[in-house]
Amino acid sequence: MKCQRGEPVSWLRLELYGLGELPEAEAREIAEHLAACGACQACFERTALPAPPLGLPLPAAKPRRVAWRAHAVWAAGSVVSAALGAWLLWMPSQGDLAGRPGSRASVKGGDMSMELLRLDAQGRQLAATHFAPGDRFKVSLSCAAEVAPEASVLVFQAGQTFVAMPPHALGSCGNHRTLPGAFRLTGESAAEVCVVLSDPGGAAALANAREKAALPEPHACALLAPEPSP
Amino acid sequence: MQAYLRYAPALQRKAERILQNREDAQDVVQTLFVDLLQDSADVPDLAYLYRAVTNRCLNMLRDKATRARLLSRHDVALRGPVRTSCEDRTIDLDLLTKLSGTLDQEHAEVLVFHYFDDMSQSEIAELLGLSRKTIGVRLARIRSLVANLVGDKRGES
Repeated sequence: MKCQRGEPVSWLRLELYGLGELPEAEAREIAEHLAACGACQACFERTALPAPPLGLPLPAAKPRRVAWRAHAVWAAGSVVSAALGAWLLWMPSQGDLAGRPGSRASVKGGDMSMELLRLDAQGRQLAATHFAPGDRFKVSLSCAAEVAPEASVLVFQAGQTFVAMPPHALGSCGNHRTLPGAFRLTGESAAEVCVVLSDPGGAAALANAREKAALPEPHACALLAPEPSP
Repeated sequence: MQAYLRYAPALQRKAERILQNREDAQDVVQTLFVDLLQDSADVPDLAYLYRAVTNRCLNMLRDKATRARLLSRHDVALRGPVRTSCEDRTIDLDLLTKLSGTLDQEHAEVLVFHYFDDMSQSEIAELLGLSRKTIGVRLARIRSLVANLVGDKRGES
């Protein structure tokens, strides 16, 4: 599909033209080009098509800071029957932990913290304390630059271990690094999502871990419950 | 947030042209905005965002596992109309993955801007803050590489 006027109008310029962000003279040039070139006009029409659902990455609400004593178990929410499945038990890893259940976990010394971002099928951000069909989860983590450079995301559920996201080489760590990719949670059992940092090549052994206690340090975990049926 | 609503559709279309996978493209755009919002309340202009999406897509293609996954289930329709070909050949996802594995970041960026975004040499030069001549040299290297790759394949068959 060749441009009929020699040099095509680039996609960036077509988008800016559609958004009305080009200077008037340039916009006029493009209008003239489109009037005479079917190929570029066809491309411009694509920019006007309805966009697929985007998912809105709204900033997460500030979590409440919760005092934590070593070896204590922090529990939030009410415990209800398994049929409703609407309970959350926050199980910290070794060391001090503080944060809102299901969305944030910190390891002592601030070496690593994790945030889960939960988006429903319509792209709305929901509290990352539960999961429902169609939800997507993304992981953001903050860690010290000198910690191990590879991050993996594992899920422990109903006695099984799943690799939710493959090992990602961080390069150097830092604040609020969002890991590429997303994952979904299904099933009727609570799922424990753990982010583990390891040396390159160390992730392969993680899939053999059958529970959080078997994970090396540093790691952070959050326990999520299936969304109760309406 | 307004910047996201305004620019995300354009960036989604761009990422889809490169990755030919809707969900991965959505992921690239969402991750970009999450990172931008965390760093600063100001969002750059579309030209800057175009470059950021390019680099993130190229990084994805450099990952072996992601590459294999994208190649196994890409949707050719998402490539869109192709107006710029290289050595009389459309640079499809398969060729792009081979090229991005061989080219450095500077050349790979130029490849995407020219063959996927249909930018002229002048436009690319302005976007990257380089001379038109430099862009011309990089494109010549890309064309040479494509010719070798295509020539090798023809030799095999």
